[in-house]
Amino acid sequence: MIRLILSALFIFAGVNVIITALVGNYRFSYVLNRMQVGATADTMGAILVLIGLIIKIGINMISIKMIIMIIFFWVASPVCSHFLARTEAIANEDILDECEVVRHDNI
Amino acid sequence: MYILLLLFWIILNGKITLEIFAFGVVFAAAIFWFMCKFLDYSPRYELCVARNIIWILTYFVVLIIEIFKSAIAVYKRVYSKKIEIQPQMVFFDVDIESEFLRFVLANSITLTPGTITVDVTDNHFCVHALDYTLAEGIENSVFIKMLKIMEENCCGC
Repeated sequence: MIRLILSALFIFAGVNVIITALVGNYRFSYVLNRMQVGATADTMGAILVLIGLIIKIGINMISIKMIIMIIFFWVASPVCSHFLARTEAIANEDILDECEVVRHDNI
Repeated sequence: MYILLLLFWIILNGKITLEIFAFGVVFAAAIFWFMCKFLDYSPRYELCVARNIIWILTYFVVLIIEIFKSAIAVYKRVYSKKIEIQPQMVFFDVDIESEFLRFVLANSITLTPGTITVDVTDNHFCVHALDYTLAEGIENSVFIKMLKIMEENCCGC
């Protein structure tokens, strides 16, 4: 019973995260800002839902496969959003209108 | 690493029998040989991982805490109408030599909600932040300090 409640809580939190990502996608207008919110659905949302499912079914081969899925999500999703961001930063000529640039480097 | 490959094979199969185990030993050895020959992997990395195991675990715990903290900060900005976001593009240098650790740093920055690594050339990072408060102090964050310690422990591998 406690396990059911705990897993329900985790899945509920995960679904909330995904809904927030959806709302954020409509709330912001610029591509990079939208992506910031959208990327959380991949990481936080998927993780929380998977943790909920793992708690629900207990430890067996399927839940170990889910842990591997979490690792793959965490490695693959940043690469994807990094490529989208770089394409946008290279392709958009008016990017300085959208965000201010701060430099801490010494080029 | 060899043991991890073998474990991965067994997990994907879903059960442990002698046949699966024997095939796993052969295939894991083949993949390990391929990694050493073509993917620039060598067993001395394992020594490096063994030396840093405490720091690696601490790094993951800190990463998860940071993700939750900044996720809450991002959600405040999504749901409140009063806060106007000020997106920012931050350029900064890190003095981490190892390419793999720079990759880890770039991925951790992207995993944290509110910041995305736009570009990495050598050790110049370009990071886009949803709001200027999320990018504060990013050029000497806790991740960079921990990765520097890990690099010192590795001494050149």
